[in-house]
Amino acid sequence: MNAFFRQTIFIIFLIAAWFFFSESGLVNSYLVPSPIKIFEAGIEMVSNGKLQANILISIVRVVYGFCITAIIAMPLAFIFYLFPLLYSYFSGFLAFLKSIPPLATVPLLILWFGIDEASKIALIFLASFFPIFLDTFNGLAQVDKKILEMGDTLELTHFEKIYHILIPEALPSIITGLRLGFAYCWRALIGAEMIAAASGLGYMILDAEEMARIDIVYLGIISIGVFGLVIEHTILKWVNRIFPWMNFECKAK
Amino acid sequence: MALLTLENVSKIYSIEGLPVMALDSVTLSIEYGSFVSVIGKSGAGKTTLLRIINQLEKPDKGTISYDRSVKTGTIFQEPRLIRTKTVEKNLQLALCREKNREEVKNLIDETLRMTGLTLFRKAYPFQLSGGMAQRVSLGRALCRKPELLLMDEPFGALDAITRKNLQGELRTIFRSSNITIIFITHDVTEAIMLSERILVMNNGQITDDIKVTLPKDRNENDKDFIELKKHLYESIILKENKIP
Repeated sequence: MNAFFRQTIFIIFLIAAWFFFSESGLVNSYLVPSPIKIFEAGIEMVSNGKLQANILISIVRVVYGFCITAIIAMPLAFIFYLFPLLYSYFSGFLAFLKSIPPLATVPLLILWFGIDEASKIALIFLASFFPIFLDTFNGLAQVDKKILEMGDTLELTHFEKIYHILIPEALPSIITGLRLGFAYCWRALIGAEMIAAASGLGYMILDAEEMARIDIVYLGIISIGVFGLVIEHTILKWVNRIFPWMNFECKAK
Repeated sequence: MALLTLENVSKIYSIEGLPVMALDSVTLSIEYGSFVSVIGKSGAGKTTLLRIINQLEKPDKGTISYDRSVKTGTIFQEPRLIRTKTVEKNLQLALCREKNREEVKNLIDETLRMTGLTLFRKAYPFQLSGGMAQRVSLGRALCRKPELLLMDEPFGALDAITRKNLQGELRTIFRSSNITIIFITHDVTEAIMLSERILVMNNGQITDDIKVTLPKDRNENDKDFIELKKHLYESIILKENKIP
């Protein structure tokens, strides 16, 4: 029996148990509606296009926020690595920022950026900045000095060592940071959409709660889980295809 | 003709505030086209000597001078490969300044053939065995056609068979080119097998300098071989007892 089969069996079992409890009346069917009702809600939301539209909006926000974060966090980590003196000024402040849960800043973000896209992007930025920044920074800092010394014996210049040795050696850690950062983006986004938004999966769930459509709440939660899973799985598959050593490096850690 | 000369070279390391004499007034010259082994116990100063020759470190006292600027190749105890690059790309690192692509390709093809890694051209370091990885590092040092090869216990971590094979390859390389090799090892048999001159180091000093007069094809069961081996063991052990 392979792993996928075993995982599927458990999920089927879970749905069957859920079906049994909700249909038998052992649990409140308003709080735990039958899977069939949720399936029907799914059909309803797909046929009126709302589910796809909200998923699409959420994905666009995540990709947008993620790209902005990556473009800022990676070069910043690089600059701080190259200029440790500069980093020593910032490291305390960064440690302070790191300890603040991004959701705690939502009121400020809304005041600063309004309730439009900007505040959500800002929240995504805060949520994914540290995994990307820290993994890039640590990846660079942990490159074995012995390997850089090997570059000296080949009479490489400083720039050649950075380009040909430092970055390739730090790559596994940088990619891990990007993957983690993406997962954090997805989580933070749902939070942002539940606080102030008029679209997206998070909004869809909150709106359904207000309309007492508990089946759509379930649908939203399941969609988030399934989508997160699909995206993460797809990214992992591509990463392992493009970078064959990635699987090995992660196992080694 | 001496390729390089060391005069009264000393190097002092500070370990937890205490000075440790890694090299103590070493005077030495290495001739063009020679194969010199340096043996001694760990901590005798072998690696420091090599690092100074390699200009990875500066001597605290004394001078080191090269006859002219020579291209060197270095092989460390560990392969020191870049883990995200294929064998081919790891070799290319040594040629990254070479503009002529055709030339780079030819040099790499030749290196892969010589090190027996042609089939592993596209393999990543994690897919290689220890011996293969060390062969890549040998190839990386050789593909830029060095005149001086510096080797720091390169076969120390390998199994006996791989080690024998690589020793054979190194012998072939030495004979078929006019390369100069400085080879550090703690293995006395290996030193006699490979080299023409053996330096014994003890406590940062060169305490013995022996010219190996054995024939080119050496057998470790020969009387002379065993005799020399005995002498070298004594040379390492006796000196240790003399110096407090």
